[in-house]
Amino acid sequence: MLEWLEITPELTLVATATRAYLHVPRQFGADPFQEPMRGGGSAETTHWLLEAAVAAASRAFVGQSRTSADDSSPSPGSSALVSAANWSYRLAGYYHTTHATQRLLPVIARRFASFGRELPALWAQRKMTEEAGHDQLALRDLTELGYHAEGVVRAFVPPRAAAWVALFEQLAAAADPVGCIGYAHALERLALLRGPAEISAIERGLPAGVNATRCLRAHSALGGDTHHVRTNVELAAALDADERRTIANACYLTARIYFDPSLDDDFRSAGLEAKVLAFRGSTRPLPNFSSDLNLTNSRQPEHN
Amino acid sequence: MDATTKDAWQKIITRAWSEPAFKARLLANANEVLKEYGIDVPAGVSYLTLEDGLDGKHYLVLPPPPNDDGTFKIDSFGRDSNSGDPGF
Repeated sequence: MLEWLEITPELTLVATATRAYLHVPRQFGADPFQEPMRGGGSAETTHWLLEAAVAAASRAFVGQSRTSADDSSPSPGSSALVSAANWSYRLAGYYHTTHATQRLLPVIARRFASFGRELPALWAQRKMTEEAGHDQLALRDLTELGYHAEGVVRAFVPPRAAAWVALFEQLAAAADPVGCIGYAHALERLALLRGPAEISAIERGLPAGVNATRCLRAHSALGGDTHHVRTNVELAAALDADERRTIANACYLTARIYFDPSLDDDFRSAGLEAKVLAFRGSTRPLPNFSSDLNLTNSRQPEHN
Repeated sequence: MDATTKDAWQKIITRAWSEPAFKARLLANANEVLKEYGIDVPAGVSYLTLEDGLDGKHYLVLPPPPNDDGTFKIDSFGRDSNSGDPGF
């Protein structure tokens, strides 16, 4: 069994049960991978198709300079210390993407149900339960850092988060919203790149005794995304070839946003730090926080 | 193959079926013929035309193996850059 997708005219993803290839189709000659994928999927081949989609996205920007190359602020992927203000700005990004999840999943579930699409509808309903309250984690982290959480998220929408939300809205409104599965898969797969070392590095940059990594932990290798990634693949594998193509393409587009250097935060040079710091001073707890979700800080005791 | 290239290739095929001299030139120097039909021939690429189906022989074109070995660094996807915070 094979799965494949022409991700761009210059690149076709080809997935076997054990690996994937980034195939460059030739201009002339018979190439069976230039025809749209057909046939069924399997958990193994769909897994590799989606892995290849993320890999292709990661290579789409190789060699492009980053907008903040001369910026001294630590990058999200680095182990350098991050300031509390910078982390607060990034938490605003987490809020916007996770809040879009809360807002759009019910819409997606209803649309799938209205189309009689039982499996995707069940997936969306299960996601609603799994992701419930995750936007509140970002607000709670901001509050613990001493910021007026709602003010911060109202004031700041990091460009990458904005691009993700816009894509998610577009996929949710599409004639067939099945691409939302690819969107969710990409974000959850990319979240698995966040391990304990990176979380600890971020915590070292934050004030001692403050637990402001609940949202990060929920969206890292320490959270539930390992399980979510597996269930996303299992669902996608059970769908037909056209649906898998849509899912893999959405996965690719979502991952492109992650790797696109034009969406990098230019935190220091844009003077964002001073603007974020203006929201400091309110430790007023926000009402109706979700349950703790057992996302404890490994270094500090839990603060509720 | 994009639609424009496909259209040009169809014209080349049908002309070669009907004009032996053109066919001979296509078999001898495909790059030259393709360029005449507005098809971009990248530098360093040399096209070779084979006539399929005569005397029972059919050519199967095996694409070259991808440069990538198919084993992505899935632990990082090359994530050493200023990438964002993915939260679903």
